This record gives sequence, structure tokens and C-alpha cells, in this order.
Amino acid sequence: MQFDSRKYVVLGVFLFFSLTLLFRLFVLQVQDPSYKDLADSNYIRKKTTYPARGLIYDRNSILLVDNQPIYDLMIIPKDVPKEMDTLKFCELFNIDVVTFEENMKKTRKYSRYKPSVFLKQISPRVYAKAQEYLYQYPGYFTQVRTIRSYHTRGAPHVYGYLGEVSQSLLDTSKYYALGDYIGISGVERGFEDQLRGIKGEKYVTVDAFNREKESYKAGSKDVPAEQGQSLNLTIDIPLQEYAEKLMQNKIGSVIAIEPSTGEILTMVSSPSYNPSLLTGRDRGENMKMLNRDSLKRQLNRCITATYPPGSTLKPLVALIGLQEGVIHANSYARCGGYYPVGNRGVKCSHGHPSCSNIYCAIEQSCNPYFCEVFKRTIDNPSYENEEKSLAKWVKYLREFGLGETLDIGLPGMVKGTIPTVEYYNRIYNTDYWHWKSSTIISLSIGQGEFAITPLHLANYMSIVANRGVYQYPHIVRNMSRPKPKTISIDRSHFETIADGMEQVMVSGTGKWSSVEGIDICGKTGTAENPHGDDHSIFICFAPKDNPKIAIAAVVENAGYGSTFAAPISTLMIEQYLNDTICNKSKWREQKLLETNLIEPKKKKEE
Amino acid sequence: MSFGRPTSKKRTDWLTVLLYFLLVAVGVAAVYTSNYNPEQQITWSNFLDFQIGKQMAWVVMSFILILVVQLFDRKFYINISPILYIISVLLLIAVLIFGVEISGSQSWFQLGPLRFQPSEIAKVGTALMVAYYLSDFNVNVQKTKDFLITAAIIAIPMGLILLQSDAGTALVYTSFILVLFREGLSPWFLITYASVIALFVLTLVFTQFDPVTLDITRSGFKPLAIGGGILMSVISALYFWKQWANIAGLIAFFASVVLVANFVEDFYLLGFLGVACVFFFFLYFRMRNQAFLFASVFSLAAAYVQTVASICQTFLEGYQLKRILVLLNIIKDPRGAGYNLEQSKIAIGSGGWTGKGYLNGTYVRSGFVPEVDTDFIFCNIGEEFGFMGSLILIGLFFCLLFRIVVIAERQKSKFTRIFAYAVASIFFFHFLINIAMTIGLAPVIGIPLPLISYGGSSFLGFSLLIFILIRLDSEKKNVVR
Repeated sequence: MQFDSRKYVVLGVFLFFSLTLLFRLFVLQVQDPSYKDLADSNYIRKKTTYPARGLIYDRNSILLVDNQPIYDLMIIPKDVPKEMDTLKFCELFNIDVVTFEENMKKTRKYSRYKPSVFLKQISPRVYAKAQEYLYQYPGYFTQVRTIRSYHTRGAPHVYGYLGEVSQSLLDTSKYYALGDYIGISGVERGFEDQLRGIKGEKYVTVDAFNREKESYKAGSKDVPAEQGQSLNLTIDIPLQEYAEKLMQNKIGSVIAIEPSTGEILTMVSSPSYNPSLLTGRDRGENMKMLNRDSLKRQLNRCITATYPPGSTLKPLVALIGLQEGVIHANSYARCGGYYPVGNRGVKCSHGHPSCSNIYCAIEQSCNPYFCEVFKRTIDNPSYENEEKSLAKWVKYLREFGLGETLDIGLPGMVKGTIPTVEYYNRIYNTDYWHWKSSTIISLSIGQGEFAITPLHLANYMSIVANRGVYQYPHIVRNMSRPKPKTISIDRSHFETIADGMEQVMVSGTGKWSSVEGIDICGKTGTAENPHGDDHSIFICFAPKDNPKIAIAAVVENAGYGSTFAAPISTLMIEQYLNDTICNKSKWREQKLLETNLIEPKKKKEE
Repeated sequence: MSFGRPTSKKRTDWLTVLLYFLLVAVGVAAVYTSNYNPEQQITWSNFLDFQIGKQMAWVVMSFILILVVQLFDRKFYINISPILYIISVLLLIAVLIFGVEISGSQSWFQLGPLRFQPSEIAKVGTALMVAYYLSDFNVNVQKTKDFLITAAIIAIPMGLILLQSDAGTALVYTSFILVLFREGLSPWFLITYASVIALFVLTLVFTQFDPVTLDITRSGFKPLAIGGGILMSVISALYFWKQWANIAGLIAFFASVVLVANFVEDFYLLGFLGVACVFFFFLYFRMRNQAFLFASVFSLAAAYVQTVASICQTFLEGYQLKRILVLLNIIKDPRGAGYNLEQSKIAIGSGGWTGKGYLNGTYVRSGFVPEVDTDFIFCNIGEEFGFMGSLILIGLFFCLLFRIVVIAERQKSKFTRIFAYAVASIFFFHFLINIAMTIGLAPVIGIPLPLISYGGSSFLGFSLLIFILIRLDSEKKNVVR
């Protein structure tokens, strides 16, 4: 036949292509090892297992914060059969059909093969019920996670809250992965490294849709997660809760420190919020709500709000004066109701005769007296000039931690501002005129270039209570901190001041808040506030000898220190030392609980 | 030639039967391993819930059918060919109306639990019909009219399958060109077929695509036209040795095409090439100077190159174009279109020399390779039996093809010979493209590996092709025509 020979062409084509396939297969299967490696890396996947976060206890090992398992209902849409009893399912999980359809759509859109969250954080009650019936609904399964659970509403600012790790941290940190939770504020952030524990690793075989099949080599290569370390706070939770109760409906802060150790017993920032709001299902919504709130409930005012200390600085002014030798305990200073400075003068509001000793001056909070002390300190002839003496004065303040960042274990501490020589040189620097003690006389009564936090105040009071021994304040027990140091002021001067502060509670500005049977040393303060009513401030420690507690309280826009800050502090002392409130103090407690300073303020703003 | 020697002696070609059963055995084993799950117990009661059970059912049904096929003689098949063809075409039309759509192709009838794909059976009908028509004494495929009729017989089912959006199965019909070639079709057709594919690939390689939108960012026409022009100039210089006028004229024309391409819009360029093509073809007919044929073919090729990318964008789905571009390494998309291919290559590549052993294909088992029981079933063999397994499987297929050609060539009956070549061509195309696509030598078009892939219709179709051939061959001693 004519075309018989063409069979060879056809056979040639068959042979050529068969050999081509074989050649390619040889390269792929025998020659090139890369595919074997790829095969291994693709079907064994490293999975991270998350450790439970460390627990948080108070100073007496009362559990404050632990973890609570929550259950996410997961779905793999492709495994969900078409005929499904939707109604029964909705009833089981307490959702309506609309939500069901929406979630169904959403998860399908995300992926038909990959598991995704169908319902976030179903409650343990619903979970317990639903778990029994879940097998009837293929394609659904539950996945356990842990979230924070709070056993008290107290001290939310101390714990802080958790949030998803930020992109900037993801870029720099090797530990965190997208979607990890991390402490955003409070000790959750300050002690993140201890609390978070160590992530574990789990090797599983997975299929192409990322569905886990089984653990690799029966888990022999897995590294279990290590639970985070527990944290013992220095907070005394009953006292904390009591203080928060007293501070309810008021704006301000109360800090109590145990002077002998520097342990912070309470740290109240009011108004507060319920920490449970920032965990669980509605976290996002609640966060928005809190951010909208003009009262800034999340703000820890103890370490971020700054005020002029007002008259509460006076014991310190006196201490420096005594140490510098410009006065002694029985120095006299005239008080005619004001201290003459230029043509204005510093008024004295307390209406008392001129003081012939320092005890009286502290007791009556006599402005002219302390102006005089300050003037003598600055104009001290043993110094070259005002700059030198003021620098020395400021050095004393710094010794007390004022204007310093105190590392108590909480992030976000504000340094505050205290006066500096450089500042005045800059402000009053002209060729023909230099600043003098009279220029800066308002510093003597804690006004002027002062902005310090309540924590600074409490710390300073704690040092005074210790008669000059600076125990670094801290909020977590046994946390690393500097060794205690001694202030360069003689102990005897502290005793003098303590005597004066004792008088305050006996017959001075704080006598209305004194507690029978407890030797309290206190000092009221009224910080002038350019934005509104004066802030009520009070610092104190008790008992006078061998003090157990030192307190600083600030109540914003509440007027005199003696009206709000003082009774709150002394009630706390009474509660802490006596474990009960005596009948004589009951009316003060009652009045405080009933007073609402926020409502009228809000109304006024409107 | 011996006329009408009456004998009823039948000689079944047992070698083909053996090869068939070997392939079926490989297939069943491969389908079993591709859905193997050690946790699931297959019992008699739930047998049909498993792929392997269903496939076994189809295998048994096919065995019965191939026995039935043996009951009829050659005359019956010759006579029934047009009827079978018409039924095939009608089924292909019906599936467009009544069929169900599965993964984008409307190619299936759903009959209760059974799914049936008429395009698989239509191959049998078409093969028989081509054999029927071309075996007529008066028909010669070299004659234009007869060629066109043959082409139409092939093109009708092919077009209908294209309408089902099943481009892969439609392309199978192009393999009939081998049959026609054996029956005397000019080798130029084969060369053209190869050129069309080569130019297609070349154009895409030289065209720049936006990897996301697949828009053309730079046309491949100019580099190809310049390269082609230079190549054609050299070829014409050699072809028309010392015919200076022809050489100069052709080079001038090639240069002018490149020049024109620089100055006119694509649309006018296409017009220019079209006119040039027809004009030179006309001149060739009048003057019989082959230089004009060169010019005409060059214009046609240039016009084709100019439109390939647009054709792709118009007639191919985004994912199909993407698959081709990924295959040609023009764009990279390891998570998307390249995913199947990459996974399939990893699975096969991880097999090594001897493979991981039967039922030990961890990579395929872990579900990385999609459609591992149908289009990508070769991955199982590659992974579990390695290069040795691949060699044996390809060897089996080659032996089968070789045997079919041997059978074809020993026929006195033209009908049987043509049918045999059709069977060989269809098997070859499936076998080649299916394996080639799993190892990245061909774009991923979903056609099954004959007798191996899971799927009843295709198994039935391939079984029928083989056993009708065996039946026809068994009568070769009795045959006149």
C-alpha cells in the first residue's frame, strides 16, 4: 500500500513522546532531590500550642485573676451537609436564623476548606449543653482558648488588659505571632515576660487544606507549652476594694504604701471600670465605649495624672529648711494673713495667730511661714547665689523621688515636672534682671512649676514615715528593685516634722478626720487648679511610731484637702489597722459613700 | 487476497487482552490507594459508598459489556457505525440541555446515583464513524471534499464538547489527525498542527502578561516577527538558491511586515496581513511561483501570532489561561494556578527510584494533590512506585499502542485498520497529555488516564474501544475489504 511506511512515523511519534515522559520523570524522580525535601516540609506542619497565662494573686494569696476556658464554635463549611436542621441548631446555640445565615456566608467566603470561627466565645453553659448534640452537625467543632477571668472588680488599673499584638512588635519580636495576645497595660504588660509562659510546639501532619490529621510520630517531637509564672501583687485586695468604694462617684486617686517595705497596698484610680469588660466576646464594643467615655476610666490616674502638690509639700519644705539650718524647730515667722512679695503677696487662708514654731506652722498650714522658710533657704548666704541654693533644694526633691520615673512594675508612669534652675534661667533671663527667691516664692507652698503624680506623693509620704529611709515602692512582691537608701536629711528633723503632722490631726486642718485611738500624722493640701475647682489632697501615715501605712489621696475638684481626701485616707487607715470602722467614724463613711462629685460636674459641663 | 473464503474461525489477540487487564489492575489499585483510609473499614454492605467500590462496579459492568461486544460481528459494527455516531451527537446535544454541571463543565447526565459522561462514549461513535466513512472505496482523504467531510465528522462532536466547556476532552479529537495522516493526509497537516502549537507557545513566551489581571502588557509580535523574518529569509535564500529576484522580494516583504507593525495599530496590521495572505495565495495559484506561497504562509503565521494572545483572552477562561502561563513559566502562582502542578510534581518527585511502597504515599494521602483519583491519578503511581513504577506503566501503555498499530497494519479491512488507528490515537493523546500535565510538560487540561483514572464513563469508553477492536481483529482472516 501507498502509505504503509507511515506506520513508522506514527510509531515514532508514540515512542518519542513516551521517551520524553520517561526522561522528564527520571529528572523529577531520580535526579532532582528537591521534590523529596518539599514533600517532607509540606505535610508535617509545626503548630504552636499556647500556654495558660500566669495567675495573679494579692499580697495574702487571694486569687484575683485567672484563666477561663472559652469555646469557639468552629466550622469547616465544606463538611456541612446541605440538609441540616438549622432551627434546632440555632436553638441549641441561642442564635437567630439571620445570624446563622450571616455567619454561614461569612465563613464560606473566607474558605470552604479551612476552619474558621463560626461563633466566638460561646458560654460554658451553652457549650455544656451543645457539646452533647454537636456530633449531629458534621463540619462543626469546638476549639478551646483561654481568656482572663477576674475574681474581683477591684484594681483593674493594676492588672491592665490584654490585646492583640501590634504590627510594630511583630516586626521586631521573634516570640510573637499574628493574633497573639499580649499585655497592653498594667502588670499584664509590665510582667508580660513572666506571665505569658513559653509557647510549645506540636508537630502534626496536615493535608493541603490545612486540616490536621494526626500528630507526627505520636507526638515524640512535640515540646509542651509551659504555663506562665504566677504573680503576687502587693495589693491588699480588701483594702483596695474598700478604698474604691469610698472613691466611688469621685474623680481621683488613692495610693497606700507599706512604708517598711515599699509595697503598694492599694492603688485606686477613680472612676474605674469592670475589668471583665475587656475580655470575652464583647471586648471590642466595650473598648470603644470606654474610649468614648469622657471620664477616661481606663486611665490609671495614680501614675499618669499630675497635680501641683499644694500644701502637702510644706513638710518637705520644712525638712529642707531644717537640714539646711536656715530654721530650727522653734523659729518664728510673722503671719499677717499674707506674705509680702512685690505688690501681690501670698495669702494665708487659715486665720490663725503668727506661729512661733514649726509644729504650729504645719498644723495651721501657714503660708507666710513656709514662704519665709523657702526664702531663707534660697537666700542662704552659705551658697554663692540663688542658682546654687535652688539647685540644692531641687536635689532634695529628687532624693524623694519627685520628678522621677518610679519603676513600680507598671508601665506608663509619668515623670511629672519639678522646678529646675535651668528653667528659671531661661524664663527670667534678661541682662538687667535675674530671678530671686521672691520670684519663685509659690514653690514654697507647692504651687508653680510643679506637676507630680499621686504616686510621687505617696512615695514621699512613705519616706517621711520611714524617717528618711527610701524603700522603693513596688506593686509586685519580690520584684527586682534598688536597695533601700537613706535620704540626706537627719532623722531628728523627720521626727520634728512627724510631730507637726501629728498636730494637724489633733488640732489642725485635719482634725475633722482624726480617728480615735490611732496616732495619725497627716497633711492637707489644696491644689489650685486653673481649669476648675481646687483639688482636694491629703497625705498621711499611721501610726506615728512604727508606721504601717502611708497614704496619698487626691480628689479632683473637691475643694479643701480636709473635706474629701482626708476622711477617705483616715477611714482607710482605720479599716486597715483596726479591720473595722468605729461608730464615730461611721457618719464620715456614710457621707462619703453618698456624695457624688461626678454627676454635678457632668451637669455643669452640659 | 482471498475472496469470500468461508470460515468462522476466530482469533482473539490475547496479548492486547492481557495488556488491557494489566492496565485495569493498575487502575483499580491506584483508585484504591488514592482514597485509602486505614480508619475506614470497607465491608460488603458499604462497598458502594467508596470510590473503589463504585469503580469496581463499573469495571464489572464493563466486563459484561465487552463480552456482549464479542457477540456481534464486523458487519454489524460497520452497519451500526453511523447510528452510533448519530446517537453520540444527539447525546452530546442532550447533555447541553439536560446535563448537570460539575466543576464548570456541563458534561454529565445524572441518572439517580449514576453519572454518565456522553463525551467519553462519543469517542467510540466518532472513531467508528471516521472508520466507516474513510473505508468507503470512493473516499480518499487526499481529496479536498472527502477531507472536509471527515473533518466535519470529527469537528461536530468536538464542537459540542467545547460548548460543554470541556476543552480537554474536545482537544482529544485533534488526535484523529494521526489517523488521517496514516490514511494519506498530507504531512503538511501534521507539520501545521505542530507549528500551530509551537507558535502558540512561542507567542505566549514572548508576550508579557500582568500576573494578576492577565492583561497583555507587551505584545510578543515584534520580536517574533523579526526573528521569524530573519529565519524565513535564511530558509528562502537556501530554498531559492541563486533565484535572486525571489530572495530579494521575500526579504523585502518580511522586512516590510516588521516595518508596518511599527507604524500601524494592531487592527490595521491584522488587515494588512490578511490581505497580503490572500493576495499572495492568489498569485501563487496564478503563477505557481513558490515564493508567493512563502509570503502567504508568512502572512498567515504573522496574523496568527498577532492574535494568539487575544484569542487566549477571548476564548479561554481566566484560570485556563493562567494554567498555561504558569506551565510556560511566564507567570508564577504557586498558591493559585500553579498549586496543583507544584503539588503534583512534589508527589511524583518524592517517589524516587522505587517509590514509598503501595498504600504508603504519604504526600498524596495527606490530600495535597487535588483530584488524585481522576486527572492526577498518576501521582499515586509516581509516589508509591517511583521511577520504576512510572517506567512500567509507560511501558505498558507503549506496548499497548505498539500492539494496536501492529494489529492495524495486519488488517485487510480498511475499516478495522482505520478504527485501530483511531483507538491508538485516542489512547495516545489521553496517555500523553494526562501524564505530561502531572509533571509539568503540558497545561492542566482535565482528561483521564485511560483505564486507570476513576470514572465509569471513561473506563467504559476505553474498554469498548479496545474490545470492539479485538472483536474486529478476530475476524481478520475472513475479511475482504
